[in-house]
Amino acid sequence: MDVGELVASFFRVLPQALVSGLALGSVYALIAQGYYVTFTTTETLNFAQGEFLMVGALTSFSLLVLAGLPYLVAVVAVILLMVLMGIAVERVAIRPLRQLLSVGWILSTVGVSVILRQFAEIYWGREQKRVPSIFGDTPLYIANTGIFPQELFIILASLLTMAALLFFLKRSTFGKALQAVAFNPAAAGLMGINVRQMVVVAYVISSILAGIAGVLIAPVIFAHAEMGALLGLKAFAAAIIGGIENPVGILVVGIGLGIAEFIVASYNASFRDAVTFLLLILILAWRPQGLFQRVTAEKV
Amino acid sequence: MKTSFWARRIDTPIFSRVSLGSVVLTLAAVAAIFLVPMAIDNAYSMRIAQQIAFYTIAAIGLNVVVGYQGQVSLGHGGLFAVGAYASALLATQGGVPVWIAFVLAAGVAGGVGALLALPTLRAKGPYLAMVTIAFSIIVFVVAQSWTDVTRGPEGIKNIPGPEWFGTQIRQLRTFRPFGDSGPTISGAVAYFWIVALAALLVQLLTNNLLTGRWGRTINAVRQSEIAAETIGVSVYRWKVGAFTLSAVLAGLSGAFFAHQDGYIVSDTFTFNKSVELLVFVILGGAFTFNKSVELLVFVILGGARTLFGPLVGSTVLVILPEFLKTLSEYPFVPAWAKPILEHYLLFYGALLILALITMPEGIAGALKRLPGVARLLPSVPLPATRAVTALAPSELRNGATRPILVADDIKMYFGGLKAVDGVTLDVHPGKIQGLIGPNGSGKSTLVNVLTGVYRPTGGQVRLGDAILDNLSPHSIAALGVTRTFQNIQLFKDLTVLENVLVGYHLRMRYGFVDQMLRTRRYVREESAYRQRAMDLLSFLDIAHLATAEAQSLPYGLQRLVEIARALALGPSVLILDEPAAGINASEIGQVSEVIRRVRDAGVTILVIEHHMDLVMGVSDHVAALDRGQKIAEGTPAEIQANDRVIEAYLGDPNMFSLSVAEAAEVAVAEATEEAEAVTHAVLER
Repeated sequence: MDVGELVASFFRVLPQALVSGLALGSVYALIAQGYYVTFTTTETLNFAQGEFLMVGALTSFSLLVLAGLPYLVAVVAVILLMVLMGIAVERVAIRPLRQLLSVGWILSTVGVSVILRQFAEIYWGREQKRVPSIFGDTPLYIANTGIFPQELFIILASLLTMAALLFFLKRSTFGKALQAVAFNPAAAGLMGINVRQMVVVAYVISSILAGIAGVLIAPVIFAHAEMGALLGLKAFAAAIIGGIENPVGILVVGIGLGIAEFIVASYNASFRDAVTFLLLILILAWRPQGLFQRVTAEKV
Repeated sequence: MKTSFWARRIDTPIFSRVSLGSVVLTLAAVAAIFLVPMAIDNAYSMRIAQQIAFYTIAAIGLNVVVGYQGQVSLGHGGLFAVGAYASALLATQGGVPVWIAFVLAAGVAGGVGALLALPTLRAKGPYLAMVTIAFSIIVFVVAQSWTDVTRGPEGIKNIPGPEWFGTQIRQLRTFRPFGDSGPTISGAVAYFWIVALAALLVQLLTNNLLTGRWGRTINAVRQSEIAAETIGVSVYRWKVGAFTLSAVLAGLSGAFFAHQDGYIVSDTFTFNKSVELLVFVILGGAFTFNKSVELLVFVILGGARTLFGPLVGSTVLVILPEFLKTLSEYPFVPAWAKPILEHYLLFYGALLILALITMPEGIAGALKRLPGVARLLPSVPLPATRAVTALAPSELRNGATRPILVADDIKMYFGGLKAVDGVTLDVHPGKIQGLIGPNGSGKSTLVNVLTGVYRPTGGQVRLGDAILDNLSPHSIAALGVTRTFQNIQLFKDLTVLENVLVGYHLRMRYGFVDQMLRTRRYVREESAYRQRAMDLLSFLDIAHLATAEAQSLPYGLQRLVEIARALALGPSVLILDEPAAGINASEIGQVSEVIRRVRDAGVTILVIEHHMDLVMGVSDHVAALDRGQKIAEGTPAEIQANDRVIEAYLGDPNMFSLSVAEAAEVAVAEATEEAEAVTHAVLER
């Protein structure tokens, strides 16, 4: 393939990759905002975030397809489930282990992810579930580029969710208290902020984001027990490349990764997953604390 | 504690100074490996036994990284796969004899591990965990899609077994290993012998490694990287080394796996493999660190001071799925429970969390805590306590030519903040130089520049002719400049004596092989340095604390241990960063006395201090900093009388007479004020 041909083919695949990548990427960003919220408040994060997404997706399958409930009811139910799971994961896997070992919480949340995957296989089975989109499966065509209505909905809904999150964090007293905990837990505690409660809240927010992401993406990529691991990991790649303390960076990089993935996939489908992780390793090799993370000198 | 019979030490033809119990146990283990399978020779049990053996090898390796060195790796399943594929391909495509393929596969995995570790081990905690997850997924994707080589999900078939005098050892073949008149055994037993002996060897060699200088050093790196650096340990190099060693073992384990059935498929090596390996280690007792974990049997017989957590973990967890499978066949198990029992990973996950919360030291660690067990554990005899009033000349480096430490026009800016702005300071050999200044005047920043923690924005640091400011802390330590810390940085889980022994890191000469094989050189040097460490403790009047865990001591004594550890390096310049912080008045007297004694032994000292009694009492010469600049320099008396110092630093001359308690009150009040201001700033944003 000569250069001219390569460029031509690139522009052939680009519009479709832009559209599909934008949808997938905004889901990465949504998941990764969850990492941002817990990491800034507690310097821990949920390695089972992808599995929370998976539970959200499969629950939406049960409620929409099996129980035939209305969409809004299903969404609210998933959010409530995520609130409970967020509280549970903080109680079981984070709180008992934060003081004990610097790495204990990583292991315990990995344990949670294993349990959830196995549970999903037992409860929902191994096969992939199709969750129909409420907007139907007829693609719209804009200038020869097909886009599913669900993809448009994903982009819109995740952007709105993220906007709401940022507004909540920056504007509400609650959000400010959360930020105060992030900045200096001891000082926040002295000011009468209930630090423990804030940590729970951070985990609840993070879980809700994963659940919403699961409900959104299920109609596009089939729901099944193993769907979460890769999504959670790619979202983490977005978080560290974009800067785990920088929600806007996360959004930009998440979308960028989604698009890049579709471009790569249109040349070699099996290389699609490897490319993000290679990128992840290379970037961490270059900047061990992530791209935009401030290099904090350890005080000694 | 009285040494029990089994803990007595003897010399064997291979290993020196090993405990009687461990020799007996090793021989018993060898006998059991050979005899027990001959009694219960069935293919099913042998397969499980083989699995326990090769997973133990991988788990021992992973334990080095996760348990000792404190880094989470979720990539060891990937390294296991690399070993499996390397060995399978070498044996099938390359025609390499299987025995050699085992070794080469371990080497390949070690190489891949090193390649992974070199660029990524500067990342820590969650970042490193994610990188290693990414690695195992990449390995899986490659195994799955590079079908020309790996055959992907179709798998590599007919991988030969190792040969025994021209006969291939295969699961279903029977043969007579000891000649025509000997007993007939199955190939499954023979393969178990190979793998189990390899596991035993790995266990013994790793135990030796982890109880010597190597184990102490990676323990130290886990507990405080910065402290390890300042006594000359290249933290990064040691991390990469430990990771590479564990990669070699993961690869060896994978190779044994590949030749077990003679068939491997890519589907085996999903990310779950890494999680499985990790659970083996955690449950078995990865977190039993230096206090040593002993497997019940070994413990009872008072065996070697070793770490058998991985063996316990692998045994329990390899058997668990089989147990669950058997359980599900019983009639009393309800139908709904059957699919749950098939998902053994569910139990792994639950056990992982449960073990982390309820027994962070794992099964082996919990066993160790059983009453009466501790008495049976072998302990290295404590060196004799001798009255030591002066440091032996061998403890000091550079002899008579003691170089001057010069900070020349040092500038250290953080963004717009000029923490140190053009400070020049000469620290003269054999003297105690004091450095004072109010909070935020740049004292600690200057210390961090002098010791290589920060790289200065401008200026130069010299020790004699050597330029220090572009060196890392461990290189600066190697040149003879070391320090203590304002927030004490001891290796908390190690004993006082072990802390000091880590300080001898750069002086010990015995190497990797010496430790693994417990050579006489290792024994000689180790006991010599234990005695030297003991003498150093005697010199500081803390020899009676030698076996105490460092973190159990009061603050003041911890300071002294830190000084002892720094002295073990044989420094020409010792920098004490606020040695009186947080200690009581009587301890301050002791610290002052020690500082003088160390100076008299010929070590140059730079002491940074708030506490005026101490700094004015001991210093030959004092410099004062304010807002990143030097405002005065002179004898203690001159400084106390200097108007600029009084004005800038003391504000109120009465500060000189503030008691420690009062000073602490002031400090707390300041800190609280600062914290409140910060919180307000955030809330109002």
